[in-house]
Amino acid sequence: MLSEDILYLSLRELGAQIKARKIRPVQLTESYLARLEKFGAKLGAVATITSKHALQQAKQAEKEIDAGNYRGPLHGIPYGVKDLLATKGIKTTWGAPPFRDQVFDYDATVIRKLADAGAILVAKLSMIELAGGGGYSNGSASLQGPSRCPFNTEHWAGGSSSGPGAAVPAALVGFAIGSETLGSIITPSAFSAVSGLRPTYGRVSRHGAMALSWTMDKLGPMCRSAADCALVLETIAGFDSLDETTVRTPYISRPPRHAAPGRAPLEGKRIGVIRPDFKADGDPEVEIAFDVALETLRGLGAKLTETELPDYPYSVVGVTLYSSEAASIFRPFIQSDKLQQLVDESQKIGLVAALSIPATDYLDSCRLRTQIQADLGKMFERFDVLVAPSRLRPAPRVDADFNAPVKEDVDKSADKATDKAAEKPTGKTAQKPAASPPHSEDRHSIIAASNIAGLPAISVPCGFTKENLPIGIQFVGNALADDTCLGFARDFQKVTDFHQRRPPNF
Amino acid sequence: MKRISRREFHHLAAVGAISGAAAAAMPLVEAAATPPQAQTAAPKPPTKILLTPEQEKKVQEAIGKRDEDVTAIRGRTLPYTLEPAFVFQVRGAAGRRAGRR
Repeated sequence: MLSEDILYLSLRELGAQIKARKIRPVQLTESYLARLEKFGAKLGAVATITSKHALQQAKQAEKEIDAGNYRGPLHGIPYGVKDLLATKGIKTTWGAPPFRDQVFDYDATVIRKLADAGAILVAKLSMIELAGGGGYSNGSASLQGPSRCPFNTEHWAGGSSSGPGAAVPAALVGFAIGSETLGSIITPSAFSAVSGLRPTYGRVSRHGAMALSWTMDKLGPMCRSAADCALVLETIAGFDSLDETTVRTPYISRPPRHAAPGRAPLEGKRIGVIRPDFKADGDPEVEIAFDVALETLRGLGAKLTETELPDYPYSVVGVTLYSSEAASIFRPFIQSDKLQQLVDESQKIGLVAALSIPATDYLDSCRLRTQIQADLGKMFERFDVLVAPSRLRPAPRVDADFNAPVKEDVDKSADKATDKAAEKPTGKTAQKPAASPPHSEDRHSIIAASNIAGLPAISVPCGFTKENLPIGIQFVGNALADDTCLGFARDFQKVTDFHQRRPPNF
Repeated sequence: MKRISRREFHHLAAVGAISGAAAAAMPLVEAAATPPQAQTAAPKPPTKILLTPEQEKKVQEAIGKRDEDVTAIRGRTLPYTLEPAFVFQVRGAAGRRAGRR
């Protein structure tokens, strides 16, 4: 077995050593498989370990590389995917008991592209059932049970891309693919110290991914650094005739820039800071880490200006959009007796309630999206990127009830652990702090705003709490400016080492 | 003819003690409550979602909560010319600015 030090290497370093035949794909695959077997269940990270399939791919990669047919930087590198991507002949459970035996006879486009690049699928990774489409009340809302943050296993890894959140920082895989509709890459990235990129809507084909919302679903890389995300995005991005919403504008990854002598890396760059009301909604340790991160960016030469999002009810619009679409997508399931097989009560209630959303509310949300896109677009005339805390609080405990009323100084994170869980009506009324005026938090709802507008964002770690819980900062860019987000994150990671920390005991 | 209860009828039918035709002909205690076509019509998908009373209550609460939330949308006056983003695509102007750093 290869040493942990090798399994934690960056993708570029792993790729270079594979190319030089210093690391062999079969040995690397066996080593990651061994870690998946050893730690996968402990972290609740795994749906299916694909050993047989992986070893076949690894042997093929080794043969090709030995013959001098090196395909590129992901050739021979093992990875995992959130278990909502179709994989031919391998179970795809969507994290939900009613679909525990579901097997597709085709591969999702992302799986095919990664196979073409020579990457090796070692695991289907756990997720919140149906990507939390109906809302959910705790981190156990999954066929695979709760996923755990490797840095503090008493806390949740985040969702709905839970498995990637747990597996990537513990080096159970080289990298992972997650999905986001309204926070499902950014949240586990923040909670588990992952560098996670939510690409521009349409950048990556959704073909073969479980549809939750046709107009909001995105697939993206979850890695141990922003540089790794760039490498993976380069492979999976691009037009796909099987997904009409993919953009034809090619993704061009620029190599990391080197500042001219005497110039700071981000000199002349303009950052808009979305500062939430930490006193009303946030955690003091997150606020401190965020402020230090801003100082770091200032030190890199960027010009920081505080700003606010245009005034829209982002959360309600986002939830109305994806809930309506999810209700249409899952109507036959919701009306079947299989609904009752779901794990989470809130999920069942939310899905049934979504069937009765008036068409006019959905259409008004679509119209508001037109305005939101235009108004957010204007912000990028003033700023290159927007930054904000990825989440206002660190990960809640694994057993936290997200519907529990907010209690000061106890665990305010519970009711807002994910955007979906927080914003979906679940039948219980969460009590908000009295000081919070209606919709004031929407001025800071950058996850909802940027998802509605289809904008790219990357979350990277920017600190840890005293309980060793990760804290994240997100960089949000204009549509199709994925590389801009990646560039800022890479520059940030050149002068910080939070992304290089390893979880204890893994 | 001996009259049997619904429970007895189902038991007998399940163990195959009576044929389908005989079963259809067997009068039931509650026969009046069953529409005649119900015993011969093809099964239909449920028109009512099967929820427990507690779940029904929670669904109604959720709908009520949502109605409160969507006042933030319904309360807005949208311009007559504002069209919905039906088939969602990122905007061209944004594309031209893509990659600028």
